[in-house]
Amino acid sequence: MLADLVHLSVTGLLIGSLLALGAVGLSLTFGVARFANVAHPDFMMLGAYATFALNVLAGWPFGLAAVAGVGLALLVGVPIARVAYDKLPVTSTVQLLIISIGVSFVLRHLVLLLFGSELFQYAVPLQRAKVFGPVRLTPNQMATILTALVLALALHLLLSRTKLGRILRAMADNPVLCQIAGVDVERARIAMWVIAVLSAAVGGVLLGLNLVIQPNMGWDLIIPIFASAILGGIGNPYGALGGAAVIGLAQEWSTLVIPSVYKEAVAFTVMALCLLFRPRGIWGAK
Amino acid sequence: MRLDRRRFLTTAGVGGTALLAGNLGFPRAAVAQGSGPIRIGTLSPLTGAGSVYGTILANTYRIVADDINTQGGIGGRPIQLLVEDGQTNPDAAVRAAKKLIEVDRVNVLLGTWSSAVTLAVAPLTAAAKIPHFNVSSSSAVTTFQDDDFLYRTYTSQVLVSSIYTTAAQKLGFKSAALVLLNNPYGITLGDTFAERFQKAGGKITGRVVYNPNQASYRSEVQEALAGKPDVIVFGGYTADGILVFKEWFQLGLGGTWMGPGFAFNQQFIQGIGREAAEGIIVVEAVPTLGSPALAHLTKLYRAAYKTDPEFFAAMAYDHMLVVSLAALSAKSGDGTAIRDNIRKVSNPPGKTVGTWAEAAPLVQKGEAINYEGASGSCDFDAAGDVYTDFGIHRIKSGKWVLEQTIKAAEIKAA
Amino acid sequence: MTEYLIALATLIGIQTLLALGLNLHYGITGLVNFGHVAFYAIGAYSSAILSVTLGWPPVAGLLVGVCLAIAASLLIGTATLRLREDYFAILTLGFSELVRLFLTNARGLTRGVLGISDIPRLASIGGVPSSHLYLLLVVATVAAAYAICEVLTRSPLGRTLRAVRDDDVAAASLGKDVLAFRLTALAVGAAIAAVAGTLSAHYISYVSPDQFTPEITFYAWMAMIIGRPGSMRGALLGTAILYTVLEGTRFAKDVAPGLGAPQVAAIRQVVIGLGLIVLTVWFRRVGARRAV
Repeated sequence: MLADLVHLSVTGLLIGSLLALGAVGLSLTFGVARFANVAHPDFMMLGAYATFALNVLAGWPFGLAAVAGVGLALLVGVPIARVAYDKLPVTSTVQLLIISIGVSFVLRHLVLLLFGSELFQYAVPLQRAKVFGPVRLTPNQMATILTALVLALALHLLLSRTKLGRILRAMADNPVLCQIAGVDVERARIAMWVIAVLSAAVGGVLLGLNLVIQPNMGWDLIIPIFASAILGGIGNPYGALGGAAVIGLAQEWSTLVIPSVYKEAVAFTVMALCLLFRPRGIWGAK
Repeated sequence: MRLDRRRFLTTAGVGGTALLAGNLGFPRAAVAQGSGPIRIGTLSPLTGAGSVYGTILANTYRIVADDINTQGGIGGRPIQLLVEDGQTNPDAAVRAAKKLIEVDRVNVLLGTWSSAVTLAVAPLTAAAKIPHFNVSSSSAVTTFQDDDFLYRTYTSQVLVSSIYTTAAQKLGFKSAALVLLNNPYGITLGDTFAERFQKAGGKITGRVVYNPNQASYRSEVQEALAGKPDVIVFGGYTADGILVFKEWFQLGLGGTWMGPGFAFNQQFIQGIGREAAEGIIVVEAVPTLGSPALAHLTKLYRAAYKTDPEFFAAMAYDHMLVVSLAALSAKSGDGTAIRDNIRKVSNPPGKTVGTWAEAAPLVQKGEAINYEGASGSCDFDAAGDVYTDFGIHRIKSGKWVLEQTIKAAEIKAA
Repeated sequence: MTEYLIALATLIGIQTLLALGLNLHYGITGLVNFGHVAFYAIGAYSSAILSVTLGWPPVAGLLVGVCLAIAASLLIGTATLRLREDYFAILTLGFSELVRLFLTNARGLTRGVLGISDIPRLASIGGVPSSHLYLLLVVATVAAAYAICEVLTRSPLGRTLRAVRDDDVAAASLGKDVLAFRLTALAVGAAIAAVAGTLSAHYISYVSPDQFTPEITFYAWMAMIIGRPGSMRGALLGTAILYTVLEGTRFAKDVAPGLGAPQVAAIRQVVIGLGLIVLTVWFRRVGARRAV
């Protein structure tokens, strides 16, 4: 029983790490650009496919392909986000919300067009788990958790210690005032999209490493990723890390009491409860 | 509103022109007269959950039809393929089927994948009196009242489960865990296997159903293997199989895996590595290995797509060959005539054949043939289902090695 | 050919019901409902379960479906209507996925992924189902739904709400009535979607969970946006245009070979996405204004 709990917790944290890499960027853009970018998880998929193309199709070693793949995802993803969300003449956040649905459709099916519907994997050998008492983790899984922590820490430092971070936080608080105060809003927004796509693409690379690469790999995680971001408090990217851990753990622990096929419902339930009772997130007590 | 109206008119114009062109290209009279192309509609899913397999089906239909056409077609009549996307969605598939039947006037319809789509389209093909070949696995496909127009090359999972039970007994397994994909094939296999295995004195130690797009399979695998079963019966496909197997391997848990050949194929062995695949038990139809049909398909498939054909490609090859030979035997493109000749060319008695080059001259001379396919023997019973000899294979150094055979008669009896 | 056009018209009719309901939610009331397919699924499964498993007459399935959809919409509505519109959108999307998850896994009730087959066809003449008659039934239903939507839109509160739709504060100042109206709109739209589900189940005669993916919702959004949100006539026309174009691509691909069928299928969806983006920008008056 205790071993079960430990095992489920480890799995939950592993999933939480993958969700976190999607949720931090979502939370940032949700806070600063003030709309729910439904296509955000699809940026994860971009990172996975870019890495796959370089690793398997071009034959590069995985590490190099992963770094270049994230770069490639930035080259594709940031311009798309800029055009679709910053340049189009829209008057309301609902328009942006609907546009993001369109972006998601386009991204997923362009990838389907280019790569087909086959399920892909990177060219990396299968690993055996290292056993630490009841905990079993492969080196890749440990790398996944570590990356999520490092990236969240880097983002935290960026937001709290740098000028860019201050500007982004100010934009989240009051965009009009920022403009009046002479802040270069355009540049800040570019930086915001770079951070968002970067973290998502890294998450996508790791998602592909832990699972399988397919066009809907991001879209399928939309509810747990949104749940993580909302739980962590919108505009609070490091809160999203905690939110993702809670969602990951809640999903896995739930299998002790309900059939595991229903664990996807747990993310939704947690999100709904959070929105109803703590709309500012579990950390954003006020 | 002006804009809307203009858009609407343009659209209607384009659609109308297309309709007209579609009809003019192949006047209806030509089909009725028994000359002109044999029109074969395909309705495999090209988008949605089934697209992985539907695309393989569609790609194979294309190369096999081309192959037959370059050899002079069906008694001089070329095969014309009309490809629609079933979208893994019964609503969309019904519309596409209506288009194929009503507008394109296809002579046969091939390739529905999910049981949902097959069962939604079957009433239409039966009413239109055209043969309909599918790869679905639900037992409802067997019992459907179709006036003998519905055929499948996929062995019903009800049958497969009795083969698995026999295999488990022959190998001396006393307890089993089930790892099943949440679709009609996985669920039916799991339910019927559990029932039979327990009746035969075996013990089911765990049963886990997984969804194809989960974020992790760790807890599922752990849960399934908690009871330390002798054998892990797998009911899924290659891609999700790799994922589940990876979790099992990484966790370093025990037990022997047993599953279908279309899941534990070369792609699977490559995906997980030879070392990890060692000792897996593969239960698969016997004639597929080394059959002339599979050899010919492999040649065609490698030339076109640079890889070896999958199980779904083998079934697509068989569909195309069986309906083409039946049409040749019937000397007609009429759906009912094709239906009446299906068993003549596919079932014994007759000379065993596996390729068009071999079979077509015999059929034209009026000799009896027994088509033995790439996916199985293609001997259809009264319900349009197939029975085939199955083999128990073990993966050794990345290859299937046949250990024992389970005869079709043995399966029917069980 | 005639049979095909009748099938297309029947489909358009059923989908129009979804667009009408969604228009009531979003076009009139400003509720960003991304989970409309849930109500459609509830209607379809109620009919399937009652008529096949229990052998009840189709009307029973229709009524139960409508009641369940209304109950579900009111539950979501009272719990979440005060939320920001983007939260409401995500919650409804999640709700529709939850419904699908339930349909996939509650095997005792829904037969899970196996789906429910042999749902009786309606509108038979002498025991033989008539597609003409069924189309007539669908058209009559659309006409009735259209009338209900128009009445609601033209009601005094509906008019006021449309007038102040672009201004949340002004709408809020109308107080309690607004919440009541929004709930009414939500319930009526959900009920119409449930009716559409019933009509679809008895037409296809088969239901399975993979028929009810979020794509259905977004097609309805696309149809509504083509016809301009807020216009009920637009919802009718928008659905007709959308599905004529979608079906038209089948023929376009037959006369323009060179592309494989999987590619055409993918391009279709890309075009849907681009269309959604372009039209959303084109019709600027989508949604409430908010400082960006």
